[in-house]
Amino acid sequence: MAIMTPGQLPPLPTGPPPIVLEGAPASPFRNFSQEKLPRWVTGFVATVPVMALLAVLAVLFWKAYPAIRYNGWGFLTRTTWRPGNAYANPVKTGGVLHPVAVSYGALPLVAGTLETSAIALILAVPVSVGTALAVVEKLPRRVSNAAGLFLEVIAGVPSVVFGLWGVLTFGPFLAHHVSPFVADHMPNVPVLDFFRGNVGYGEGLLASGMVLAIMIVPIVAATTRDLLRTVPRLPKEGALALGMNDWEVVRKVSLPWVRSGIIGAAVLGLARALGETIAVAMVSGTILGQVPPNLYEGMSTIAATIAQQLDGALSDGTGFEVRTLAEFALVLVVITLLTNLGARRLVSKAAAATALPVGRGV
Amino acid sequence: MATGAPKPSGGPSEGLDLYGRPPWSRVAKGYLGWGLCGLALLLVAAPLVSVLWGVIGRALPVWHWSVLTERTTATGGGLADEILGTLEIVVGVGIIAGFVGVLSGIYLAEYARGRFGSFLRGASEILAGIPSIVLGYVAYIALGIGLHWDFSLASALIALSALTVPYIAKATESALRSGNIRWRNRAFVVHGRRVHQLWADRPSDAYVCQLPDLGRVRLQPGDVPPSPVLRRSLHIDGDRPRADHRFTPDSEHDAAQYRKKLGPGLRPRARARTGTMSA
Repeated sequence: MAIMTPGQLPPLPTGPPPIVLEGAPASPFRNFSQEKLPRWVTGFVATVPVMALLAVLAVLFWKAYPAIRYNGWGFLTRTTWRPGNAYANPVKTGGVLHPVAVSYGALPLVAGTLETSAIALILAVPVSVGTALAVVEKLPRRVSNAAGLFLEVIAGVPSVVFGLWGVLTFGPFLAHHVSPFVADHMPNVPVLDFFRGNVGYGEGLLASGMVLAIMIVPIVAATTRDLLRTVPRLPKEGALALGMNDWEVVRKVSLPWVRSGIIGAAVLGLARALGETIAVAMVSGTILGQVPPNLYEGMSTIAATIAQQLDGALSDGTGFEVRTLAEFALVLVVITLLTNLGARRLVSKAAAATALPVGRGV
Repeated sequence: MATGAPKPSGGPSEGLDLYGRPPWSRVAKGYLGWGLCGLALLLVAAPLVSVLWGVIGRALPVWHWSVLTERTTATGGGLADEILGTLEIVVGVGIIAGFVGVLSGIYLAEYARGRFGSFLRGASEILAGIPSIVLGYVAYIALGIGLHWDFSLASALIALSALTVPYIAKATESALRSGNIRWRNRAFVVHGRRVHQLWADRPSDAYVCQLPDLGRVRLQPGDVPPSPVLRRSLHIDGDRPRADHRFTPDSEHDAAQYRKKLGPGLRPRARARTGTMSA
C-alpha cells in the first residue's frame, strides 16, 4: 500500500458530512418483526426462570404443609429422628396421617449444614486468596497460566469424585495422621474441647468440612485471580513509587480494590458448600438425630439427608416422611436465601465503600 | 537505621534509612506474607493432585477399554448405558437451557429496565441459589410422582435445565453488556446516521448488524457521529468503552437529550432527510 505524505492527503471536508441512508424504509411489518417480535419472544422466555422458581416454592410448600402442621415450630429445635412404627396402624393428628410415635427434628441437620459450610469457608477463603496472589503476582506468566488452567479443570471435577477421594484417601489420612495429633494436644477447656474426642475412622464433621473446602477452593481462587488481574497498574505503581514493597502494595492497594469481589467469590463458594450433597453424603458418617459433640463425630447435612432418605421415605405408606423431607428442603431453601441476602448486603456495603483507603493514610 | 538520619514522617516511606531501605520488620512482613501465599499454593495443589492421583491411580490398574462399550449387568459389566445417558442429558440440557438461557439473557441485556428488570434478575439469582438436591426433589415429586413420569430422561432434562438456565442467562447478559459495546460503537461509526437512527429506534437492528460490521470498521471524518450524546458514548480515540456510557433509548437522560437534539415529533430518519441533522 502506498504511503501518502501530508501534502498528498485529500482535504478535510468543510461542510456537514453527506447524509447516507441505508436499508429499506420503515414499514409496519419490519417494525414488528425486527423490534416488537424479538422483544415479546425474549420477554416471554425471560419469565421462564421466574415461573420455575414459583413452581419450585409452590410444590415444596404444598408438599411440606401437612408436615409443618404436625411438626410445628419445635421441628427447628428438636434433635430426634424417629420414623415411628411402620407396622402399627397409622393415626391422624390434626388431619395429618402419620405413623405412630413419629418425631423428626431439624436441629442436627441444620447444625451439620452450617458447621460444615463454616469449616469449608474458614479454611478455603484465606488459602484461595493466598493462592490467587501467588499466581497473579509472583509466578511467571506461563506457570501462572498453567496454574489457572489447573484451577479451572479442578473446579469442573464432579463432586462425586471428591467424595470418593474423601472416603478412600483423605478420610483415612486425617484419621491416622492429623486428627490424633490435634485431639491429643488440644487443651481440655470449654470451646476448645470441641477439638478433642474419639477421632474415629475418618468420616465425620472435619472430613466433610475439609472436603467441602477443597471443593470450593478452585471457585474462590479462580474468581479472586481474575479480580486481581483487573486491578489497574497505575495505583500499584503509584504505591511502589511511594516506597511500598510489593507485599504492601498487595495488602494496601490490590486487596482493598477487589474486596467486594472476594466477598462475592466467598459467597459463591458458600452457596456450593451449603447445597453440596453427594460428597458430604459419602464422608459425613451419616448420624441422624444428634448434633456432633466434637469435630470428628459422624453427622449429616440437610442436602445429604434428603438424598439418602428419599428412597426409604417412599416406602412410608402414610407419605409423612416424604412430606417431612419437603419441610427439610424448605428449611434449606430458607437458609440459602438468608445467606444470599446477607451476602448481597455485605457485597453492596463493601462495594459502596471507597476501594482504596484514600485520605486515611496507608 | 543510621543514627542522625532525618526521619521522614507519614506515608509508607516512614522508617526508611539513609539508603532508602525499609526496616527489617517491613521486609520480614513481606517475606512472611509471600511465604504464606506460597504455602497456600502448595496447600491447594497437594490435595488437588492427590484427588487426581488417588482416583486415576486406583482406576488404572483395573482399567479395561470394554468398560466404555459394554452394558451394565447385574454382576458388573461396563458403563455404556451410563455414558450414553450422560451424553443425552448434556445434549438435551444444552438445547433446552441454551435456548431459554440465551433468550433470557438477551432480554435482560437489551430490554429489561427498572423494577421489572430487577425482578427478573432477582428471581434468576434466587433460582441459581437453590441447591440442586431441592430442585431434584421437586422434580421427582412434581414430575416423577405427580405427572407419573417416574424416573425418566424428561424429568432429568427439566430439572437440570432449571438448574442451568440462570447461569446461561447471566453469562449471556454479561457478555452482551460488556464485551460488545465496542462492536456496537464501531457499527454505529460505520453506518453513520443509519445506525444513529437504529440505535435510537431499533436497538435490535443495531444488535443484529454489529457482528457483520466488525470486519469493515474504518474511521473517517465523515463518520463522526452527529449527536454529542452519542459522541460521548463512542471511543474513537481508543479509550476503553464503559458499559454505563452505552446509549440506549431506554436510558431516560440520553433519550431526553436525543429528543432535544432532534426536536419533538420527528423521527431520526425524517430529521436526516430534512438535512437538519448537523455533525
